[in-house]
Amino acid sequence: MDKYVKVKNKKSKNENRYERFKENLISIKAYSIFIIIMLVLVVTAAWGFNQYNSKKRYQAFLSNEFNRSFYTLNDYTQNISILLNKVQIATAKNEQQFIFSQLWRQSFAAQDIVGQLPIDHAVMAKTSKYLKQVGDYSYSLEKKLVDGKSISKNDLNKLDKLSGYSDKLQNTLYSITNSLESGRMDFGSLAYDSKNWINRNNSAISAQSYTKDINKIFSKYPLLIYDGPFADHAYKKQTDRNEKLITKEKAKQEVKQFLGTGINQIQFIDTRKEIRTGSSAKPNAYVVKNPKSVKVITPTIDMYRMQVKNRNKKNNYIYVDITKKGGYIANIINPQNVNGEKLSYKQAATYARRFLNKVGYKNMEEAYFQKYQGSVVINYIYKDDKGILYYPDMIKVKVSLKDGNILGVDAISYLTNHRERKWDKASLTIQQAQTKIKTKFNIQGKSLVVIPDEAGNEILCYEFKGKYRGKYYIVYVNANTGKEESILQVIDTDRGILAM
Amino acid sequence: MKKSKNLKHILIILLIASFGLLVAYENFNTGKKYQEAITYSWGSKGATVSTIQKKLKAWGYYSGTVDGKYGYKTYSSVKYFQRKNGLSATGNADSKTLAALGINVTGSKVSTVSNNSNLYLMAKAVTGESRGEPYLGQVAVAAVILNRTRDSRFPNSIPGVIYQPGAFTAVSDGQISLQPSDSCLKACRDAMNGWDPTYGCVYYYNPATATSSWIWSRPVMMVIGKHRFCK
Repeated sequence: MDKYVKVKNKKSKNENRYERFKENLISIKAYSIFIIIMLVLVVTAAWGFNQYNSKKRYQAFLSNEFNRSFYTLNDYTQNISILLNKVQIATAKNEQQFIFSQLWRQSFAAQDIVGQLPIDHAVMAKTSKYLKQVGDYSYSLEKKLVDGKSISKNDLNKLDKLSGYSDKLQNTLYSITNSLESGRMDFGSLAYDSKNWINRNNSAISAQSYTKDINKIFSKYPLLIYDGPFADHAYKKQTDRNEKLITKEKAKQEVKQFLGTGINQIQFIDTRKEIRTGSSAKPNAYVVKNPKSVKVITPTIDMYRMQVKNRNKKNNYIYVDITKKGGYIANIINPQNVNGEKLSYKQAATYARRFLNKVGYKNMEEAYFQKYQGSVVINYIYKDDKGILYYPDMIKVKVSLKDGNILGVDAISYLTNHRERKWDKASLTIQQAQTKIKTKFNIQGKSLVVIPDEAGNEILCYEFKGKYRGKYYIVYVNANTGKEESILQVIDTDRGILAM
Repeated sequence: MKKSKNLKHILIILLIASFGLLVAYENFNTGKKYQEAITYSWGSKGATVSTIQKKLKAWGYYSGTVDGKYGYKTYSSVKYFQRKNGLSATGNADSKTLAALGINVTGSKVSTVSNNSNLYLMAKAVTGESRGEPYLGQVAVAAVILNRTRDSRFPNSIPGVIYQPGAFTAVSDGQISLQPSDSCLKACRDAMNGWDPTYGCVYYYNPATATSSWIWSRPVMMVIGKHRFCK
């Protein structure tokens, strides 16, 4: 009886111990789970805090960068205003020249900054155009003075008008500065929240009042016409040489003939299809309120665009543009890869020449070429019956060095410039022009050429190719004034000749 | 019964612990993403793959054809090369392997690009903007970039145009850090040589996704692929 009781007691004692042990274990487990969860929370909180700090640092850095750009822009605009005022009073030519040279520098620097600010392009485009034209115009006026001419009253009036815009722009920039300083605006936070200002409709900055101000300032900005690359020229269209319009069918026939493909492989690409039907928008995307309000313009060269299926590859198309007027090739783009070179440059050039003759581009002379990745791009220029070479009438032909296939043609320069020109006899003979050049220049080739200037005007020049101190140069001397119009250095690499 | 409850507890602990580790890992590893961008592996194609094959063939590691396609033979010969040269034998040509092969990956692709870093930059932007477009569309985007440098409303230089805030979504998104495709590189070269299938356009947008009323107001000249090109 006792033994049994003893065993029972022992058992219950063990049981109690076991029970207690189990309870302890459970509470340890509970504690450990609790501790692990707390640890994870702490780690996450630390990470979150770290991220927040890092974001703040980036924001501050961006903000500083943009502010610096903006304040610099402010400085430049102020200087431009002052210079434009000074030029009205300066009468001495060297004084004017000095002012124009500074205006040019300040405007271009200011324009560079405008392109870096996180402000709506729609707004800054006008400011950018204004600044660039001020600089460009000043540069052209400086050139005038250097050439010995003087500033006309017309020029002074134009400068006066430009000065007015400069003052108004300055005021707006000043009000932006105020916003920055008072903390009402911060470039950094706006730029960081990139989703916001890319979506122009909701951009916080476009809602600012100064956007309307800048728009107002330039709403009546006139077209500025002068001799410079950034002046307002009409876009060049295909020159009119009394050609007839060709039909779509004729265009297809030409492609078949020029590229030697089957008619079935040629497909028209309607470059206006989607625009006519309104929009290709998905149901929840922005829908144009009135589809007819989408403006459509004709390309500078009106053409039929076709794609030709490449026999060898599946999704490989050759793209061909044929002009509606006259049926000329404007563009050929063939993306075919070339593996392996077999032909020499001269052989490739024969293929190119043959092709140009076949498609109706006659009297073209090779100017220079450049090789890369198994193909060569050769630049051809027009030579008239008097032997004058015309650089503006240029056609580029890309030839495969493997099999002489024509991989590309670009005749847009030719099509927008080529026409019959009549030149009066040049005032200088070639010998007289030669005397204008540095005597040590070892001349190896000379010809009479026409080159375009920065504004797109054409100048009749004598072209002298030669060597000086081991390097090749091309010098262009104006055939009437004897002025050195341009000097190019020729870089002869193993991949071709580059004129820079 | 008790055993399954313990199991449940252990699972929960492991889940929470792994989440915590993931969070910590991500914090320390954001920098590595860009390093891995330049790697060639099974399925890669292009000029650089041809160069890899050429070099390996010349040194006796590769016996297949130089076709620019990274298949099994290329993979195993790259692995062999890596083993013989003390690199980690993954079979993927990462930047260390390419460096050992003597292929420059930082700036331009092998011997096919002139000393023009702008070209590579342009190709990256064009890739980000028009990866899935037909070749004509890629040349068109490249031409738009160049046309902008000559327009008074935009910055003067290629980097200026590409990095103009808000100009290209691919740049703002950071996609520009990825490697350019061969097709886009070629398209940029054509554009730099003067080819412009847009005839002078400086804007483009995808009508299915563009939401800015301002861009919709630009006069459209033509449609190429998904994009409308405007002046």
